[in-house]
Amino acid sequence: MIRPILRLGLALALAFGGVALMAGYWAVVRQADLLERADNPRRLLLERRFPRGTIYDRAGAVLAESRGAPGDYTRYYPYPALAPVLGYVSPQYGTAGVEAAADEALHGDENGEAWTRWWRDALGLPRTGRAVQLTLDLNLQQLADAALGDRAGAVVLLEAETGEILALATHPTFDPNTLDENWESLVADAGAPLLNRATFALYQPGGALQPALLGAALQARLADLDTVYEVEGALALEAGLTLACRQAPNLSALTLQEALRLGCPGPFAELGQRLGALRLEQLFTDLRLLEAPDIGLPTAAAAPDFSDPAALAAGQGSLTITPLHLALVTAALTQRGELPAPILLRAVAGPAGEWQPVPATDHGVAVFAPETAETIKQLLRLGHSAEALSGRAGRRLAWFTGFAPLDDTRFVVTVMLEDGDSAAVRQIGQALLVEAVLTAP
Amino acid sequence: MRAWLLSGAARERFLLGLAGGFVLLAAAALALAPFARADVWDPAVAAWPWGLALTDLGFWAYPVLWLLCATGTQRLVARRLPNHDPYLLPIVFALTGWGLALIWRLAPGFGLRQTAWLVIATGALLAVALLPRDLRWLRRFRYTWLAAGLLLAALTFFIGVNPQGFGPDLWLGAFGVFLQPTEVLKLLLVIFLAAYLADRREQLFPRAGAAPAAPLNPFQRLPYFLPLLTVWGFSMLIVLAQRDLGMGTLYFAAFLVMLYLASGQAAYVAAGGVLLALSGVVGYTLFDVVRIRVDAWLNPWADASGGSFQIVQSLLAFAAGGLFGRGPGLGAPSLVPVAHSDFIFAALAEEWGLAGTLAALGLLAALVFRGLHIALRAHGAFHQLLAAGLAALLGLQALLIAGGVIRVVPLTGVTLPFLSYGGSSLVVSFVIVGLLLKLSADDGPRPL
Repeated sequence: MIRPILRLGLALALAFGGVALMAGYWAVVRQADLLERADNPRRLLLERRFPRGTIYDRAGAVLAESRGAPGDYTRYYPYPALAPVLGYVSPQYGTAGVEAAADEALHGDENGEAWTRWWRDALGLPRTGRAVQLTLDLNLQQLADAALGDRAGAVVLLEAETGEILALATHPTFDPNTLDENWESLVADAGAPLLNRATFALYQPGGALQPALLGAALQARLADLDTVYEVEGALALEAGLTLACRQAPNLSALTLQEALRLGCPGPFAELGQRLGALRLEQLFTDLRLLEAPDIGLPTAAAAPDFSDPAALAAGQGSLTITPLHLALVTAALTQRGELPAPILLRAVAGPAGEWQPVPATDHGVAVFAPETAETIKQLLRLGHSAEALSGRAGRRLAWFTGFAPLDDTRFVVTVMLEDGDSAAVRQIGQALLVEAVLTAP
Repeated sequence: MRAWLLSGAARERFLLGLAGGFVLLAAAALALAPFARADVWDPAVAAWPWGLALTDLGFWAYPVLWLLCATGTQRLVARRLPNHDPYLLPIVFALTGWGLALIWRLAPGFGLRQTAWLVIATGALLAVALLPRDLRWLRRFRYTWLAAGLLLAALTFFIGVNPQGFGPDLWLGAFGVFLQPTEVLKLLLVIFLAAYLADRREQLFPRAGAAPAAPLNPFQRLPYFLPLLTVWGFSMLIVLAQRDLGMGTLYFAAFLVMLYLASGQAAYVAAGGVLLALSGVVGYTLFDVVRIRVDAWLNPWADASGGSFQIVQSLLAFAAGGLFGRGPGLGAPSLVPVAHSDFIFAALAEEWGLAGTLAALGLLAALVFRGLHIALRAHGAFHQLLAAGLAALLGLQALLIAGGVIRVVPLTGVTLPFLSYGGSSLVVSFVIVGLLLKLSADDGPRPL
């Protein structure tokens, strides 16, 4: 009976070895993706014991913090309107927004060895979530939110040179403090309050990109400001829609300069035809409209086809953009053609509480020649208003993008209203620019 | 290094000392865990977050009673069985002490109960190991033992209860003490098989042992198989009627292993494997309880909040443990359902990490190999079959549940020997160790 016993021993040894290997597989190889699963409550349980990092605006105002006593911390958002930007941490619905983008720092993950982390946990040394500083300015943010009010739309206010985002408003919004209670109704809401319209919603640009098109045409020497175009009524679009000039012209022939001011789509459609698909694709690529900006938050970009350059140039083709895209394009025109890279996460608190700047993941690129950019900038002294028709029903969107001050421009704003109120977008944009200039340090 | 030069008894004392140090450290770590969790050194925080006071005398009774059981057993066994295997007791007590720490941490309400079961189990081990006669009494009354076991198990159909108040009625209860007869039956089944196969080996498997005068043809061999198949069939019927998949698989596997050991023919194992797979397929189409388990095994991610909730949470516990674990009392293993019994291996993985997992598996494997070692040195077919069968029984049971919680095999509910909560399981496991101790000390030549 020796042989059967030895063979049984060998079989059992192999089986024990297999179980050991499999345990190692789950504990080491698959560890990271298992722990990231939304049905793993351990991370959030830990945050009830150790506070999650605080989120500050650029001046040190608290935007999100953990309140309570050890064992019973809860997340509190003193300024709920920022919810689509800041996001939430929910044991049931996961994390979103800045809470998700900066989760490693806020939760207090370190790059240390597993051993040091185990030692810290074994000794019960407090693990501290690290604070995070955003580029937002709470004062300007509040103003933007108040200006949008109950309207569906978005506001982006940038520091033109650095690309730092000073205000990022999107409405309708929600209260992250009561997220778990209201989740069902928030998800079902036709107004999509969970959606960040400023960075993640793609809109038809309409005439909003006309300044950039004009710049491209000047640079390609295909046109100059005084090239005359016939205006034959409204521009016919797909599905029987028509887009007319924003302000009716007195004449039937306009220079490009006048067409830009009056928001006439016809001349720009023709210009698009002249530029051609290749140059348009080059322009949109240079302006980085075809890529999602990297600001940590979820962002979006369209992948248009270039078969119809006229429609694309009229802003009614397959190119759609986010309000953040447009703000960056305007910033490029004010910065001698230099397109800035947007920044939202400004700094993370170091071990001793000192602010460590978040290294830039991206850098600016030159899009226009400085003199071209300057020429266009002079045409946009009062900002640029535009209209777009969205969807098959032709819902009217209103855009405004502007900058201040005129010389040494520091601030760029983009406002978009889904109700198409062109007077309101200009008003909101200009009010924000004035406030930004007045309160600028 | 000195330890390996020592005599058997001294080596055993040394290893038991190591086990004792480990168990005491684990208890101390558990006692300090609340302070670590609260991050303050304040006696007012001395309540465990999971609901037990640090000043609970019952908690401190467990290391003390463990120490008394371990040293008492070692002393008595060393005196009466001087040549016994010196590794069994240190391994078994290390695992049991570890199991107690886990149970006190996971389900303090059961801690005192399991501590009491340890005392009872130690008594049972000593009774078996120190009985003055040899094991002939087991062999001679094999049918009596088995009939008693079957009867006890069958009683659960009439007066069965479940200590939890719900779920299958697999227990017999009186005065707040519950016994799971199928746990006892699994031991009696192996004893019966060892005795029967040792007696009838020549007739059953003509080529295996010394050939008798004239080998029997297959038709003549059939009557010798009948008692075997009847007894095994009855046992299988009982556990299957109870819908106890874990015990069913274990009985089946133990039967195959015993047949293989007695015959030396792998064909029995192969045929049995095919049969098991077939019954799995049939069970899958006929019974929901099988289908849920198999689906959860094949694709746990598809229904992670429903049918495969347990297995997914168990895998998360392994991931949360990582290499070195969260530390005793510092993880969240209670997120896995029934962590103190079926899923104690997952709880161990979360708080002690892969290091702890491998240590526990290593101890269990070492115990099995010591059992097989005893089988190799035993005198006579009965003792060989018994030692190897008991060792394999422990090994198979450990592999079945450890493999189940890490998705190597479909999950079936059996206890992890020595670690899981469960009185019947602990007592039966200790009796097995008692028998192995007795078998290891037996060096006189035997008739037969």
